[in-house]
Amino acid sequence: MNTAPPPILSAINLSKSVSFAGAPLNILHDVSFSVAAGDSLAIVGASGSGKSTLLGLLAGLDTPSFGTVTLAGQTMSALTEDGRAALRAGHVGFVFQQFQLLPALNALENVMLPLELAGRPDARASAKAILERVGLGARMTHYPRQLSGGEQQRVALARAFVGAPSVLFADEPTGSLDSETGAQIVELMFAMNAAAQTTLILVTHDETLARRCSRQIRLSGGRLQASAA
Amino acid sequence: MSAPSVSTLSVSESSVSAPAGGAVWVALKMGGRQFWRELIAGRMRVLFAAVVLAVLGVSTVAMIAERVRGALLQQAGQLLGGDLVLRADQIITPEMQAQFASAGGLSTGATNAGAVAVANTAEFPSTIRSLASDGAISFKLVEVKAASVNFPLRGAYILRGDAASSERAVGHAPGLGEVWIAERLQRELDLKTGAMLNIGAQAFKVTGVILREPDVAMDYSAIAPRVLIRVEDLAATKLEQPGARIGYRLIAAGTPAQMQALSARIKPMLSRGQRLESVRDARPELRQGLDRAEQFLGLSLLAALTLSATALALAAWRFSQQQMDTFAVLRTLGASTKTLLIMVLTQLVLLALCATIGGIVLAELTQRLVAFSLAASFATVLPASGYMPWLQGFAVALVMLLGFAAPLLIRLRHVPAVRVLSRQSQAPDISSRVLLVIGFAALLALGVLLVGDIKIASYTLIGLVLAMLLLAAGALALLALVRALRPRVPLGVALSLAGVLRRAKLNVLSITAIGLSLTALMLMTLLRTDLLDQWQLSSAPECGEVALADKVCSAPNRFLINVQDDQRSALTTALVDAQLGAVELWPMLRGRFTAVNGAPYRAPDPNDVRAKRMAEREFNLSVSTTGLPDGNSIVAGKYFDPNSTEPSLSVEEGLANTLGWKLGDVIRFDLGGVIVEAPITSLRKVQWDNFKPNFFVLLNQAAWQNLPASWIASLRVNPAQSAAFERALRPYPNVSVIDLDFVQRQVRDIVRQVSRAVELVFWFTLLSGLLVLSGAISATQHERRFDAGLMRVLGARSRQLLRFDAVEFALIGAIAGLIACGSAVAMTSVIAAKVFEFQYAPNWPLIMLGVLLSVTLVLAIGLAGTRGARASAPSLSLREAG
Repeated sequence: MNTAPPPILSAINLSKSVSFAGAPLNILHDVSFSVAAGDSLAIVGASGSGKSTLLGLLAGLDTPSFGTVTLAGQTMSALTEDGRAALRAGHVGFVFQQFQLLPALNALENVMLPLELAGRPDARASAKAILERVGLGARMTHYPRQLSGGEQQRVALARAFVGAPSVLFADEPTGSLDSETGAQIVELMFAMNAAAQTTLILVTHDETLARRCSRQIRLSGGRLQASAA
Repeated sequence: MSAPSVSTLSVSESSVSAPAGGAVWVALKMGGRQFWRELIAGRMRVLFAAVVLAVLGVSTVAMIAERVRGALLQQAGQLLGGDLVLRADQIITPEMQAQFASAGGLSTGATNAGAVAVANTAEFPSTIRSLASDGAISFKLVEVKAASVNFPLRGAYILRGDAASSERAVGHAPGLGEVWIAERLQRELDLKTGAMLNIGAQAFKVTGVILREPDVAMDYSAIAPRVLIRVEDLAATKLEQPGARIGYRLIAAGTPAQMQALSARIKPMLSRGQRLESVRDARPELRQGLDRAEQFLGLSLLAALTLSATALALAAWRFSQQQMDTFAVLRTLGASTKTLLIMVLTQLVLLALCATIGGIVLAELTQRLVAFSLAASFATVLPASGYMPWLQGFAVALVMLLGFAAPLLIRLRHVPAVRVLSRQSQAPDISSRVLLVIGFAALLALGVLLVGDIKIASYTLIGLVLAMLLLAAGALALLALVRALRPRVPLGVALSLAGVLRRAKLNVLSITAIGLSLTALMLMTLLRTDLLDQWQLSSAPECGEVALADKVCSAPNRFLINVQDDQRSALTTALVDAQLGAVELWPMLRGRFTAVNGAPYRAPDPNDVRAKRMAEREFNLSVSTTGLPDGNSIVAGKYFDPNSTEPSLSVEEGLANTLGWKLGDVIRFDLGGVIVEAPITSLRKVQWDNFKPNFFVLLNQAAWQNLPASWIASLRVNPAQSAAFERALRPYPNVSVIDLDFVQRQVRDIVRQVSRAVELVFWFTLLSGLLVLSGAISATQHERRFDAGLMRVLGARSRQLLRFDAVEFALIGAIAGLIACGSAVAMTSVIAAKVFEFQYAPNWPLIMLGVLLSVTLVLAIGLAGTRGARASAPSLSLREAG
């Protein structure tokens, strides 16, 4: 008998509302879905559709107003802020549109960060190795301001994958790059993802990019519109 | 750059949990790295500079204050012959001598750096026998002083020189077998240098004529002329017999810290008849001046602290805003709250350490320069300031960081991770009330630690907190006004006002910070001006170089003591005939008080040595003949009614406090066998430094009952009148003269030096204030740069941007300047009255100038600081600020 692998990530009845000018404003309505380990999922939708809010909730960066998120078998809402941080440290990698590298640290130190936070003694060696692999072996001691946008995103990719995460969250990873550089980054990201067999959750408004994922879900006005394999 | 081949990519699996102890170490390491990197990258530079400035400002003022304080005490010590004196009416025990000796070593010569010098003297009245140049034998009552060779330890004897009317300073006692005699004695007995005179059983050779001695008494009872011999010769006189009225003294000189330590060691060993005196206890005429100088230096420290705190809070706020993104990323990558907290604390401690080193090194250099420039006016080497400023510097850095930076930075551990997706998410704001309480506590702690005067620290700090609240309220009111005005003004003006509203929060912060700095500076300016005026007024009688041109030189510089009742009118007439001007005469009675409210006196605190001493000593009492004396003010009760037939007393406030006397208490005095008993009907505050005869206890006419009294007169004798004065006094050999010129010159010197120090500290504080102002303005640079870029993109010209900025800065300067000057005037009135004890009359032109200068300064510094933002290319401004 064939049994489906247990989902590494599931969202059940997720809603998020914030207070705006004294009245509640609903950003997400009752969103439910799950993602199997090793799968890749694209969350697509127009600007303001709630994509990034959903990503934040899935990664435990924010808490839902209603509903639950389960990541790697742990229910996010049952965890404290520090518990969610520990879960991220153990299972999650991130790539952002704005790269989010620490300006005071050089490329190598930025990549070392997640390993250092996890107390890994091999932080430096692992970070060096992965920077070599993303083609930045010669620029390890360069600071973010000394790197181009594409190079900064490579550092961000190296940082995301260095801790061998179970899930990679990518928020518009090519949004700040020109199309050529963007294409290179996408290639690299999917290659690394495949090699590490990481589950990929990608937020994008780029339909072409979304189609490279095995599944897509579409958000509109904070509601889940459709799910396509 | 091409993407690397996929086949080369593989990522190792490994444990992610850090061991508990390891996590702390990792956080410490990351905090340290973050500190260095942020410092090198320049984002921490402003915060670092603010802490360095705080340490530099506070340490420099503290170091200068400590050095000046030491130098002033040394200078003042010349009036005592040393810094600390143990007086005893019995031979000082060997144990006590050993304590002094172990502090330095007896008779080790003049003071030198590091060692405590100790000298000793014995004083007693005796009759000498002398042979005049015409062969006549004379007997004369004198006051003998036997001194160790190294006395005085501070100051010098001024002896008559070889040439006529010349003088020479001698810093030691005469040789063995020699005697130096007072000029008056030399004149009265017609003794030449080389003549012999007998003191007790020993003959001495006259080798010097004393014009002035360093520890000249202002005790009205010391009426006999001085003779000075060596203490080693005392035994040979055979006058040191049981029952002899000999006053012994041990005198020490050293650094203030050494004197404090010695004093603390000696005090518990004091027995009946012994007392320890510093220059403050011994010379009330100097106490007030020294106290005021210390209080002003303390106030300067508080101003420097406030300025530094303002700069630090602004820099910390800016830095914490910049750091939010970093902490959000760290949080996203899995850093725990504890890890982030350790990182922040590591950065704060490293910041404190490095800034302390930087600040202290700069402070040391600054104060060396200052000490060098002040040394000339002190005519002495300023004592070294010791290691305390280093410790103080670190304490300042740490407490300032904990009080003003830590609350802002520690909240970073709660930066929501979601900020990486949405920049609107911020670290939770701390309640401004909490910040205020923490900041106030930090300033109060530092104020008390550094100034050591809780009264001045609390008055100043409460005033500054109130000023801060007023400034914040003023800023909010300004914003409300601008909001209301905007729709009603032409478009150009409306656009200028829009900037004020766009940066509303930042402008409230700027107005508060700038206003607070201005308040501290104005407070210093107003107090300095009035304080210097006050000092110059009270030192005007000397007509020295610090006297104001329009002040009249009229204060007395001679006291005539022991004027007999029947000599009064003749002497007054003689002095008036000699055109010596007004002579004031006071009856003087000596007596002990024996009972309070009919019962023998019991001190309120049995361990209060001062109260015990006061109760045992003889008082100089006087009688109010012409109303409340000059320099006296009533603080409780009512002064004598001239028509009253009820006996009553007026008592000096400090004496009443020491002895526990209250208004209405009936005090019994024994005045040479005659008992006088009267209630206290008023308490007086006495201005001891006015150089007029001042009395602890005054009787009214009814209490006096015309008891026999000797009289004390005071008058002013200018140098040109000296000969006439001596002629007028010649028929009255029993009358003793106390020459106050020397003491007055000392006081004038001290006032001059304190004024210099105060000026210097003031200008230093002003300079650091200007730095804070520019810091406060530069804190808004980032936002201005973005705004300017945006406006340029929309087509604004440089001139328009200049006008927008000018309107905004002028408004900030005006509101901050007005509230700051108002607050400073209010604070000056309170501090002048409660701490410095003078009436403050606002100098309105100076205050208006203050407001005008505030506007000009803020405008000038602001426009200069934002020039770059207006001039740079819009794309650059937007990218840099975005």
